Amino acid sequence: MIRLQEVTMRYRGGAEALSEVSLSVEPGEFTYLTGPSGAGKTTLIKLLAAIERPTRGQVFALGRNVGRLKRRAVCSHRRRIGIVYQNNLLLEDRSAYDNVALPLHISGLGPREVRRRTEAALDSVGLLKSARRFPRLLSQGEQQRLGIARAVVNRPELLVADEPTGNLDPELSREVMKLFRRLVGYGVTALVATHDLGLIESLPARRISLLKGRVDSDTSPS
Amino acid sequence: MNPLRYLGRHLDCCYSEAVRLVRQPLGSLLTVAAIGLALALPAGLSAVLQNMEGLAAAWGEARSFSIYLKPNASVAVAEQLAGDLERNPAVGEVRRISPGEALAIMEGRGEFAPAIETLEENPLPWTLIVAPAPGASESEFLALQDTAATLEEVDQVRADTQWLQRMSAILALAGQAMLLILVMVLVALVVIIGNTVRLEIQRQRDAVEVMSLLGASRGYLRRPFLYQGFWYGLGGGLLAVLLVRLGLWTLGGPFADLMALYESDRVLSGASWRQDLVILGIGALTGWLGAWRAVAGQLRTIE
Repeated sequence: MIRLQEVTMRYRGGAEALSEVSLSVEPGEFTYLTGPSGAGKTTLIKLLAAIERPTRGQVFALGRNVGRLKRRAVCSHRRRIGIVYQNNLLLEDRSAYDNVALPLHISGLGPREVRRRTEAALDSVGLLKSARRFPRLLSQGEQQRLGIARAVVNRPELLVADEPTGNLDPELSREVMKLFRRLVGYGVTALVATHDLGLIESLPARRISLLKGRVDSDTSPS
Repeated sequence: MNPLRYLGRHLDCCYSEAVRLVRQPLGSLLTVAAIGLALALPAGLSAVLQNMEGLAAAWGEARSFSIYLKPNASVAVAEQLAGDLERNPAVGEVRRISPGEALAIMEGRGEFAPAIETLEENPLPWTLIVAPAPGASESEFLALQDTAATLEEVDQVRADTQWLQRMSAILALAGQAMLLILVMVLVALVVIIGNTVRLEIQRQRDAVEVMSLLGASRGYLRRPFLYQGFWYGLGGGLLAVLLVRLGLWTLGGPFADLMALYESDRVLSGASWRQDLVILGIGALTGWLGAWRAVAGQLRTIE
């Protein structure tokens, strides 16, 4: 599902964010991606979403060489991935409902299906009652859950999350992780970047640690 | 994608953009006003030119010439010549005016009456007014005039059509100038609308970025801005139509007064619904093109 082969990523005029990283994640697997700030977690997620292209090496996701996708293919690739961004990237001038429905509109689904799936996604993160509210009227935790609802609404084959519980209290963080794991139960592959070690210990799963742009460790719970 | 669903998405986007523009009335109206005024200039000129061309054509159709026979020419000579002319296919009608009738006409015009009273005998000759047959060519009719002038019994031939030729030339020049103005106005509109849409894209830059990250195609990202340009252009076109109609209505009275001086009951013709559609179409198309130009550049920058 995910395979990185000796991937190096150097930003223009900057240091190497990733250095000869090789790893793979199997379909239906739930994996944590950990490491301190600047370890390369966000860069790896950007490579998977085709936001950046690797300087060297190859990135495969959903059976495609992501680094070589043409523009049109990048669009369809992104529609198959659910991404939870660190800063949520919600549209402030649209309601919670419209934010979550956006990926479905982009995918060209009919109004009935859009409504059904959007309400289901909002319900799954406990925000159905806040559907008509605008993001600025939601708490940070609610905004984060809204970002998650938007990431899962399109039933992605691959779910990638960058610090999805950064603004949530421990209880809610566990709920969100349980939601991710429930999706994995339906066949979704999930890669969750987090530095919340307490959360990882309470819900153990495979854990890939990055340090200074390299894979430091790759462990699975016994 | 299902074609019906694709069409539905376009209609939905088109409607949403219209609603959005209505919700920002001041900014939208200013843009629409600028477009409308710019479009009204060539559209109005075109309408005036069409009226002038119609007038010239109507006057051109009445391009008859007068044949004045020699003073001593008899009725028989006049009838013979009139008959010969009537048999010519380029001639539609020959009106005969006897010296007596001509004198009566002049007496009818008050200013000549005192002078006529002093005359011992009628000095006016037989006059034949020759009108062209419908569809007779200009050259054919001019040749007939030349031939008539060489006849022994003819004193002189008069046809005052030079001013019509000059007017036609001026109208042709004005037509070319109008086209040039139209092209310049359209280029200016593409720039104005492009700039308005570019500012709107900048304002919505974050949303465009997010949608791009969610997998939106260029077509999807482009669509609302294209419809925005479309509505601006269509609104401007509608305003231009109203301005042209208002202008023609305002000029209608003075035009009728002018025509009365030429003993004509011709009225200023208004713009037809076809012309209105052309103005609306040009406005909408220009808006769309302006938006396309802006969107193409901006999306590349954002992506």
